[in-house]
Amino acid sequence: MLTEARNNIRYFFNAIKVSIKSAMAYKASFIIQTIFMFLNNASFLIFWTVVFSKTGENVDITFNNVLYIWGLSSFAYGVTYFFFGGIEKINEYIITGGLDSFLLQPKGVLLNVATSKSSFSACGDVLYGIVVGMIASGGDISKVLMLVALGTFGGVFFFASEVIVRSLSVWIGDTNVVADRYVQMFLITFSTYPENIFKIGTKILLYTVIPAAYLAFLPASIIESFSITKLLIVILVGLLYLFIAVKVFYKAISCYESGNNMAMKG
Amino acid sequence: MQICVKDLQKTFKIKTGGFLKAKKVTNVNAVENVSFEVEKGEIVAFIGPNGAGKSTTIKMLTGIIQPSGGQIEVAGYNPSKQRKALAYHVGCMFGQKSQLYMHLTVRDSYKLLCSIYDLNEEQAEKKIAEISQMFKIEELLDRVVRKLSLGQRMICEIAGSILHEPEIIFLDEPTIGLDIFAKARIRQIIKKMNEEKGTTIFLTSHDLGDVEALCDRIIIINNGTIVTDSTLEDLKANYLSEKVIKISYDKYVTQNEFEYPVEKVEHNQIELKADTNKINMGELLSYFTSIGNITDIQIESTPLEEVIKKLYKERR
Repeated sequence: MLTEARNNIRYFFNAIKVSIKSAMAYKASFIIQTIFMFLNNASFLIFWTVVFSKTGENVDITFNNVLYIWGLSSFAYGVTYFFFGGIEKINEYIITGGLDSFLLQPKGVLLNVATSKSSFSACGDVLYGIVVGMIASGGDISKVLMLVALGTFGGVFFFASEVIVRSLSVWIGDTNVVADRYVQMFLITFSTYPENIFKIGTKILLYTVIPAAYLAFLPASIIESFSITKLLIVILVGLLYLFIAVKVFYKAISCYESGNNMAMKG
Repeated sequence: MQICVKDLQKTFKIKTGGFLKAKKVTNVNAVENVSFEVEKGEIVAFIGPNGAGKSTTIKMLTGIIQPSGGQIEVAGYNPSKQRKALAYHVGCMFGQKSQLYMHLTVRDSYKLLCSIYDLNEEQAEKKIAEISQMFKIEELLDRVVRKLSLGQRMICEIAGSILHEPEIIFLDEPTIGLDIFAKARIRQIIKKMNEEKGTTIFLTSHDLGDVEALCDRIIIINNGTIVTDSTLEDLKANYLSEKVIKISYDKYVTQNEFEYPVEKVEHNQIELKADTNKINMGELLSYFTSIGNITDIQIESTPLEEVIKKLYKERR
């Protein structure tokens, strides 16, 4: 058991090393993607600066809260897709028979698939999350570290959401569009706006099927004012999401029927 | 026994019509009651036309897909239940799918494969050096996979599939798309693996040259069922007994000069067919020698392709 865990950790780091090497094979592209992702995120910050300069802050919505929410979701997104970019290909692997080469190897298929690819632009998101956290905290290192820790754990929600929706491809056909919409339109959009602008109906959704609350709202409030209860809720819900994702994925694997498309690993 | 398969079955459900729920579900039997055994060190060809059930069978043997029925034991493991444990004992190379990483060098791909099989860095370096020497691919190690030629990539794929020293290797179309030189090289490598390491080889190929050059035994599958399971020798003896004989004389000859049925007469050359199981070849040749002076004689067996085609048709 211990040996297996050690071997899995060693494999994980080797896979990450390989992903970084893959990224470095196209250095210029890697740097450009990182910078542009950073600038893309920064444009939203300009938007919020303009909004607050016109309307001013109120008790429910503060500029700092917006910054923390942005920092957390950006960092969580970046960490997830940099280390586990392969999750975006689950549906493709299911449809084209690409899971074959992962199933032939003596490693957990989910870990193997997830670490098979890295999103280069995700580095820009990670960097942006830290910078925004530093601005919001006024350089308070303890708060930045909390953002890093909570942001890293927040990656669980992106990871689980992608895995669940993309694994459904086994039963309902290619879910690529659904997964893109679910993550990009719902999860990311809702986790970059302050909680208090939403009405109760939307809030229920954000605390259930679209886990934006656990990814951004609760962690942001934990950084602003530490609460062990909120922290436990975030951890428990995160583990529950992860558990469901792993179960759905392995159920999908048991129904996987392979295919004969020509394929190369990325 | 390295592979033991009994009454193996795989049924795919084909859903058609309907929006959320399929109107019609058809069961297609891709593999039906397939049974065979493979001993350690054997090289077995598992052949059949497209859609015969070859790849589906291999995928069940390696734990990629779950069988609908029957029993499988590979290297002492049940692939459906012990996929991870089995993976340490088998290697697999699908000609149409790569296990190497296209943006990495061959060496880095191998290093990652080694870590997948729990080899530490030192063991990995040693293994890569040994395998690259065995396959003579030292000069390819530091080249990026996507820049290799197809033949080079195939050799690197096979080398990659034995880094963990598997007891059994499944090769699915290992020479697909290769030129004759690359094919010869791959066959030589496969033979070497079998002779030097005692590796059991289970091979599928549409190229019967692979089968003739490598295999002692042939299992032919068609429409999901086994048509023939025989040694190459037996297959040749039973199905390759018909010979095509071409005889050239030092003079022009005509059809009515021969009592034996001759298929074709052209100037000084005749062509006939003879079944060695029914006719004494010595007597036959003596007869044709008595007709005139022979300047050239060619005896050819029926190509294996023809035999396989015949067998496919017989069971269709």
